Amino acid sequence: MILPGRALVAQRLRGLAQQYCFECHTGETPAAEINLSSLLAGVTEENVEDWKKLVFALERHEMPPPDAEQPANVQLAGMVFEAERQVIAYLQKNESAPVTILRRLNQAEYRNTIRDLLHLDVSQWDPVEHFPEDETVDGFNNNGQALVTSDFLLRQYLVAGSEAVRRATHWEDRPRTHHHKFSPPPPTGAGGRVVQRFEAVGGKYRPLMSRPWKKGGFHMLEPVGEEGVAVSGYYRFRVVVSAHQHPRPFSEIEIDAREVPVLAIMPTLSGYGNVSRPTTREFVAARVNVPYGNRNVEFEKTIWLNAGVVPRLTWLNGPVKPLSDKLVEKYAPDRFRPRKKTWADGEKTRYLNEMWRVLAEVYRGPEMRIHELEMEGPLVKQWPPRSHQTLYGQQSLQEQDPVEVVARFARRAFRGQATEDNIRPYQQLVRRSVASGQAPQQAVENGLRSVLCAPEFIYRKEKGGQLSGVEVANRLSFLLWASMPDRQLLETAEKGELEKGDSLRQEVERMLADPKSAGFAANFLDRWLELYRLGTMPPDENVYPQYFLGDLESAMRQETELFFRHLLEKNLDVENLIDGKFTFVNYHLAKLYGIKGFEGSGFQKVALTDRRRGGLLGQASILTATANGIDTSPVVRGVWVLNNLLGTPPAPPPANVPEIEPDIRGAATVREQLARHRNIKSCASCHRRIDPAGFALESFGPIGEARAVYPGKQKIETGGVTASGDSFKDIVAYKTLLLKRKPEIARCVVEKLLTYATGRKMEFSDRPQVRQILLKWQQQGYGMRDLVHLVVASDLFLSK
Amino acid sequence: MFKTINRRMMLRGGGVALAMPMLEAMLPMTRWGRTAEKNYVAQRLVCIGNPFGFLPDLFFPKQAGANYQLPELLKPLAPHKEDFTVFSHLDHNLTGGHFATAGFLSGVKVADAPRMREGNITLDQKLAEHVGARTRYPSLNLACGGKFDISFTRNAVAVPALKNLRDTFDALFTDPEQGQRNSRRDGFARDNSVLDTIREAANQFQRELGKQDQQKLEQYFTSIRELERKLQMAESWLDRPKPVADKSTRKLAESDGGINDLDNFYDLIVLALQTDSSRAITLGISGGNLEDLGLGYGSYHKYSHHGQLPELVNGLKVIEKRQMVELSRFLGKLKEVDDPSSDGSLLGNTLVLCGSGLANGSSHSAKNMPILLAGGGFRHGQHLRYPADPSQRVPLCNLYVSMLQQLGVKVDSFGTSTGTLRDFS
Repeated sequence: MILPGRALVAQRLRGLAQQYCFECHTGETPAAEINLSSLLAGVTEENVEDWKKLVFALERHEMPPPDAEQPANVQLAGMVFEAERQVIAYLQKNESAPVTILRRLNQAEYRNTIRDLLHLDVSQWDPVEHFPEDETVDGFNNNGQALVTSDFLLRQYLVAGSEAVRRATHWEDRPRTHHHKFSPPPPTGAGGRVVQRFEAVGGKYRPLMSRPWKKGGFHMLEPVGEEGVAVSGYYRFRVVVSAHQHPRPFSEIEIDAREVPVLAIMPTLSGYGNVSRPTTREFVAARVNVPYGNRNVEFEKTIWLNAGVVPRLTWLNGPVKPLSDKLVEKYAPDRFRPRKKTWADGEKTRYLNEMWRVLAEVYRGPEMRIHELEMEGPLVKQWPPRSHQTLYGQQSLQEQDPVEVVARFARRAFRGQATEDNIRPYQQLVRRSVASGQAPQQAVENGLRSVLCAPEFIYRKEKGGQLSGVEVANRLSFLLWASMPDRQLLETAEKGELEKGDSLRQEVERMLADPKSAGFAANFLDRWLELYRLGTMPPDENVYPQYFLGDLESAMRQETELFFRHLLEKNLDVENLIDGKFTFVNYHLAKLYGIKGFEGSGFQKVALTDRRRGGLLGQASILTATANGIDTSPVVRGVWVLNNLLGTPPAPPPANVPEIEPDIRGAATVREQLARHRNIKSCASCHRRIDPAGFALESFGPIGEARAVYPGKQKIETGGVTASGDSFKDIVAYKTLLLKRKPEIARCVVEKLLTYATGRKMEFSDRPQVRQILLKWQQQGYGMRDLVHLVVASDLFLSK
Repeated sequence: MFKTINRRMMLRGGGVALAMPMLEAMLPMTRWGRTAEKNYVAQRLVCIGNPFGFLPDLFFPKQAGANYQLPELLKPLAPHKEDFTVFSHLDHNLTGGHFATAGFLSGVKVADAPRMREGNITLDQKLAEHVGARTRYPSLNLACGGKFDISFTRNAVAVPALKNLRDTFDALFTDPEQGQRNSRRDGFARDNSVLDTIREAANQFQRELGKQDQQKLEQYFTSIRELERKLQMAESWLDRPKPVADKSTRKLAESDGGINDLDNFYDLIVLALQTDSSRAITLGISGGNLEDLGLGYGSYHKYSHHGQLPELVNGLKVIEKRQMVELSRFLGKLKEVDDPSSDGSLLGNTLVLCGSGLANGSSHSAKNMPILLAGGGFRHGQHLRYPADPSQRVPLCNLYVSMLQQLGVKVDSFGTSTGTLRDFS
């Protein structure tokens, strides 16, 4: 980065502009209706936006245009610096400084805060399930100005608050631990066919022959039933299992023979569908690889289950095709009977059962065998559980003052921001309720709930100017954990030590090392890289079965999060975002990316040989989030690159231009159709910036798969010319050009992180402070962890 | 409890029969009807929207005026040709593809809401603000085929729709037990005590804030006030029994899944209007299972991206036609059923708007939105074509102003309107 000497003053700006710009930008009809001769006379209310445009156009090398005479880099930097100085001088005189507006907790922050405040599990119960979507600005959903509190949301706070208190409170007796052992496990759950197979194999083991996707394939635990476990707690599972592949399997049963079978404990929440089938709320709680062969695998795992959660076992990546009477027809033709058009009552079930029994005897295909199954729980390590002790301690309610219970909770819930004045109303509520004859327990629970609806809980108070230690602690923890500060951080802040010496840095290090920092990667990337779009427009399951079979959606997200966290952990250079030499993949992503020789089923760091895949632009998460599941648009992806990597968002399309009517019948590719757009003058000025990246990314289809032709068989052209006149032939060459724009990319990343960290838009008047951060970052070598430290130590972060 | 309302009347219409109490007896506190609301030409609104629009070539008639030929998608509506108007070249002048979808009933994208005086409030919520207090549900928002919210409050909050027939049926007909009612009443009392407490706390909290943040906190105070009002309304309905459903009505709660539920949703809407359970209703049709339409496992979204491929265009046509067939059946019912509050049929006093925020799912254009309006006392039976030239564009919100006025809401602007809709009354 080049800074001009102090000697460069306004007159110099005018002189340079005269030399390089006036030819087009003066006179009666100046280009783009910007007359620089009159503009440079001074910043006014009318022309301040044009001044900003001038700064951006110079800084981004958009002006002078590539075919015109160019000022030297040092001159250009001088022009930018001087123009910026004048604009900021004007803004400081005429506009109030940008500040963060009072922020309420957004969904993720509320969820995580409930988790940490009450020690509740929020993976199997989502407190924000019924909250309205958070409002966004430029994609970020933690902007104080934008976040709305409505009566609808307040209603949800009341409901979620009750539920949280109810889940945390346990006055009942210590629950009994049950131990169930099945050897061999009985055939339960998914209906008749399992029983028949069980009988057919002589009752020695419980077979699993398919995966849950599309059809059943669950082994459920009978004593638990469809209502789920009665008590929340830890449950220990022990399974003895083996996997078998027939040497000459039925060709109808499709399975990737190289993929290691995975047995999973896949619980579901009752009430979200038929629990013997895939439901809308289920999760993989534990998994184990079971290689084919006759070797038994013993697997033991203790997992948390909320009350109402139904544990199930399944072959996570088993065959999809349901076994059917078609197989009987082929493999036991003498015992096959065709289906009828109409059936008498119960006749169809009897028919299917009969066919299944036959099939079970002749079955030749891959299967898993469960030989032993144990479940023990709840394993009670402490009683009452931690959530209860957090609220009530060890004593009974009779032994303590209900008013004090609520006050104690409020002090914690308000995150160091509350005085006794703030807490008094909640104490009075309890006092009044008890006085009016309400049972103490009910009065306390209502009081606790009111704390969870309180302004001191919902909002993050910042008084103004330089932030106090406690205010910084709150900013820090919502930045790095997307949750409330812990006791250590608050105590450091309250003692006034956070500002001293190295302690801010040490806290950041401590917090990044904490597993809760996963919340940073997840939420920041969700908004910056727009990963929240994943899943909003899934692809067609006939065209992209692997997207569903391999659960690619969550794998994609995980890849990008692991990648980002690795950059943070190792303090790697920001360039890796553009052209990383490695990434993280699991079996299915490796397959999607064509990475050879991948073994195992979890995520592993792999070196990339295919340079197309290096960096964010090769990651399926981004390529999928910028497509719509059906086809790809160079415009959408090009805009994404401008917005999120280069930080130069294009203007919205003019209102009177018709959208492209896609036509995939004939020979015209989307690129040829776009050409019509670019021939319209008002479109061309933006599209020459937007389209190039999009063209290069046409190498990748709607789920990020590499491709050379469109579904209509037209060849894909991935070359183009950037707005600054550099030509490239494909995505690899395009990334090489991007790397030359490292300062712009660095600025973009800095601004995105600042936007996320401060909860407000970065404005023009923030530019000097952003530049300071950028200068230091450059000196330090652009390490991603360094950036976090620089942002946290900046005035922008430490003041309102 | 039910003794005073044991008069039942049978409502007939295409297989739906409902035993329902006389409204006057059912709603003693809001005695409404001929006298109270005689001045309104129409009081009820039903808005129906899908996410991807309608195939323009098959939706817009070739001729303007009264003597137009019904294009393919409108053919199922032939029996009602005199009862609806189809409009060309009305839209909200929005871009942004699917983001425009949410602007269907407001004219405003969610992202632009903060800049608008009334945010992105939708037609139904605007009406609900005026007449909502008179009915059990200020608005009734439904979605067929999965989550699809088309209604927004003035705070830019999407009103979550009831997504299945069972919930819709229960909302209309299932009374809580006495015990449940008592505990709900206690619940309301506790809610109110919390609201009192946090208001008091917020007064103290506000004093500790800077000026801009104090202004921001006004949202919190407004929310408390609004919620108190709504709790009060909900509580006042608690002891008033819901209409009684007979056996065939109860069958409406049974789901066939996806688009097959559309007819039941429409029947429940007829009943909601008949029983005056709500006067502002929306129905979002998001698709769901297409297997029964012979379209296999494909998604509605896939078919909307047809790119002119004949196979996909045909699939989309099948989906859209089904929507029109059900709409036609719905309009037929509204014509058959007497309005319990005045002379004439329900349709005479109900405005039915059908359309989409996206005009063309394939190009993602939101220009020239497919808009069809039926009932409510307007002079229908025509295809009104407005200028296609962008410089003479007529905002769709002008139609919304005309509709609101017809509904008795005294406004002269809404969303991005420039007045009422010319040539339409």
